[in-house]
Amino acid sequence: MNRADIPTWVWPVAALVVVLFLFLFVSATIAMAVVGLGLAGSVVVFAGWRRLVQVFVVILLVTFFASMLIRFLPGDPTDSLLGFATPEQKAQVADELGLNDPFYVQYGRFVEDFFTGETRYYQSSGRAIGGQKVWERLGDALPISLQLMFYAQILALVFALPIGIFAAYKAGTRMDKGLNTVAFGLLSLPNFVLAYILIYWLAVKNNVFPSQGYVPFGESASEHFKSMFLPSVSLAVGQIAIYMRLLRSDMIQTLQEDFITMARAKGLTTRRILLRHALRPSSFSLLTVAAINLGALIGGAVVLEVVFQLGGVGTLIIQAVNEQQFIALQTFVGLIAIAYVGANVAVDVLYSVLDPRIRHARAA
Amino acid sequence: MIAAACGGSGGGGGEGGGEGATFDDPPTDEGTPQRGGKVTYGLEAETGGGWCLPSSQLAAGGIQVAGAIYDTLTIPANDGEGGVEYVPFLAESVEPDDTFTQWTIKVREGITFHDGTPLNAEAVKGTLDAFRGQNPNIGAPLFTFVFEKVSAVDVVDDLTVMVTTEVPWVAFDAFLWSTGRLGIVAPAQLAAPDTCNRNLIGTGPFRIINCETESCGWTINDKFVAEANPDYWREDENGEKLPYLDAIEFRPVIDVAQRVNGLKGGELNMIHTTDGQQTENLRTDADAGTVNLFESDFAAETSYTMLNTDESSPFSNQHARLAVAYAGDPQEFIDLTQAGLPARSVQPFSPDNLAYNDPADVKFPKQDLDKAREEIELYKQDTGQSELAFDLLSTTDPGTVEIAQLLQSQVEEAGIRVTLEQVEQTQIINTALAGDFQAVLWRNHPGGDPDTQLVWWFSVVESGADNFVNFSRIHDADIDRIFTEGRSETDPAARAEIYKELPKVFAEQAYNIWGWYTLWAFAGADDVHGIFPPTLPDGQEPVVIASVQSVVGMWIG
Repeated sequence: MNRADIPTWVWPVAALVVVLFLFLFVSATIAMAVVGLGLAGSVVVFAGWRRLVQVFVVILLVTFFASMLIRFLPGDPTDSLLGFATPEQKAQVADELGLNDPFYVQYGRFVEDFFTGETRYYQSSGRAIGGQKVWERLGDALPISLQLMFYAQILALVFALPIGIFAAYKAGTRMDKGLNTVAFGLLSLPNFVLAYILIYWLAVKNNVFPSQGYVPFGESASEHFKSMFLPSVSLAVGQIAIYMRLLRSDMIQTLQEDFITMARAKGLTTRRILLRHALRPSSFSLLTVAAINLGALIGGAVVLEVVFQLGGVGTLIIQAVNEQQFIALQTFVGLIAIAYVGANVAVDVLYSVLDPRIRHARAA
Repeated sequence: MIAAACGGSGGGGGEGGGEGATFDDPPTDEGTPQRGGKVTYGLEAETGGGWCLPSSQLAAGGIQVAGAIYDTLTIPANDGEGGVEYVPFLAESVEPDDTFTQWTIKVREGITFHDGTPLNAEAVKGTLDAFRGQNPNIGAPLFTFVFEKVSAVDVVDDLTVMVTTEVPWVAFDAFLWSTGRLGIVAPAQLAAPDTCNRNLIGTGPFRIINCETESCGWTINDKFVAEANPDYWREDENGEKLPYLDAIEFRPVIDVAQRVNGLKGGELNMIHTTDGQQTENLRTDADAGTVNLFESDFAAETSYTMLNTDESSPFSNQHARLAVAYAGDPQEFIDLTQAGLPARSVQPFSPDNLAYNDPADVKFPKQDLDKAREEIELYKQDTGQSELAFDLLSTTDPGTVEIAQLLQSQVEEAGIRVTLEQVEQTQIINTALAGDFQAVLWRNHPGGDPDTQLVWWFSVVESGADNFVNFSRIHDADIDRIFTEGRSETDPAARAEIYKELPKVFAEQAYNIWGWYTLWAFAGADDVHGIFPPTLPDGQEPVVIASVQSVVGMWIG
């Protein structure tokens, strides 16, 4: 089998699976080392398998309900497929595509195709069958969306962490209140509104960044980052506010703990106390929200991809909804469900790494 | 002539132009064209179905791309009297016989398709047959109906075909253009139905196959890139080969504000729009010298509210239609949403169309809330309904939604209840086809010959079945008679008189609520020239009809 024969979807899913198992087995190794081979092994194996089953069940449920909801969209998909056609022609196409089959039959067919990697086709207007493959289009669009969400998340964390730490350190002061006010402002500003403001000032008025379009990294790294800067910032700003406030709250509590007092008494510097002793136990909420926020990032990315003409998965989703492309839409929802659940599982496992108490509790 | 675009917001015709050039005043001194460069053209929508021309549903954006890749047998030209005539373009000659039932089309010699195969009579026959629905592998539901009166297309010699029609067809040459949709397609493209919609092979100034310098092709929802055709058959007035550009890239940018932002920011160097407010914005930039602007409302489309007269709709009742006609005030739409730019229309045809009437003679209902309420009462008596209520459909474009909201507020003053719905532009044609609407904001009927509008309003197809592209489901014996007689009337004066009845029938029945003549604005960066097309191959002056702006003469410098 050549590399080219491998369906495109395999790569991101394989990467996700590898990461997932890596975390599982890292925590398994630590647990085994601490409490002994037999007991730890059985606990971890059970916890690991249970988690995987949970993931699978959640994905099924999400795709099932999404598939059902999609069919409530008004109109007839054959109108999108054929356009100028007689009712008889449309009926024939509906039969050929199985659109008249019961929902559970259509869903079963989708599940089988999705999990076996069978490529499915966009139902394309102009020619009802034999349109472009969903995975082909996804292969082009997915990297764009992943890059956008990744850059936005990194930007958000890069700014939120120091600001949150500083705000916690300066809790109650005017500086802290000012930062909170700014955070509220950023939270209430919709990301697409911010996008247009940034476009106006930084693209149209001052030509610093492009107002739209995507340049692949391989084509030009500098142009790539320029093209992704405004969308990433638009998506990140709201998250900065959320993460900053979360971290601030947790750190304020942590800084009141006895061990922090002990650290101060020992003469440790403020910087060391904040970064080495207080930050880690304060990060659990932040970590949880960062994973849950994947949903918000996806939603924001959908809007911003249209604004900035990025051609990512969000654009495909909108197009699929408008054109009632059931197969494509179900595929996208399935993938998003996998990514979302997988990210939350990874975070869940990451707790074991961050907090020894959780690691011991699980092992016990 | 098939619609250049359907649905969407409208600007509309008027005097056009501020400081930007207008059709009446195209730029004359742009300097000597320079070779090289690439135009990145922002279009108002993607063409999701691709460009298998016989079966494609092309709106304005799709027709722009088609015009870069394909040539048509005829093309509209200035007739010197403020109107349009259709002159040979890819064809060397297009001649009817005395009865207008046989049209002899001879193509120019020495022209090749992008794949190197010759343009000849067989290729023309293949294209025309595909459009007639004679190609078993390529569906052409719309054009099958358009050309149902064509009985045969025969090859006479290597460069000549003869088209035989069942009835005298006076304006058949207009259909050989069909708003730029009847491009002549290479046999190789039609022979591969699975790739027909994206493996485009024409004779046009740009190509996407055999590209040498550009990464050509179509990435849906991203861009369509084409390279200059080095073997293109046209030359400019000075004998210089066309096109001047090295390449052209079309990008769908649905949000008109982002399209204008792209032009100002430099990501795009050419755009088109019908949005009145953005056109006004562009005029300011044109005055400042930062963009080159060309506007055209010549042979304009009309923006209007289309009513479904099917039995399932309240508008099957004439009183309901008249009630909405009396309740609405399109001039307010123009003033509030289109910056007052377009001209009000009370009929489907623009002033340069032979079917155009003096507005005073048309007697389309003017806003009168008392009369609207009277019509509502008559509707209630006829139908037993307790109120007049309908759903108003529009695209998701914010400008169009604004118009829908304004119409809603106007008619509600008369006591009519309106529910607003939105559908994305690429789907609105399908929604109209399915008849799944009661009223929809629409844009159609570009100028030229009124015979080309038969497809939208004739009640039945040849088999006797309902005409499925008669979106309004109009069954009007007068309209059918007008189109039947007008098609075959050979005396120009008599023909004009026949067609002039059409706007009056529409006014009396209020099948549609006419709005304004669409004003198209084409804006380029300050170094983009040649927006107005060059002189035609046989020396005639070109025209720009609706959204169809030729890219062949554009240059950067």
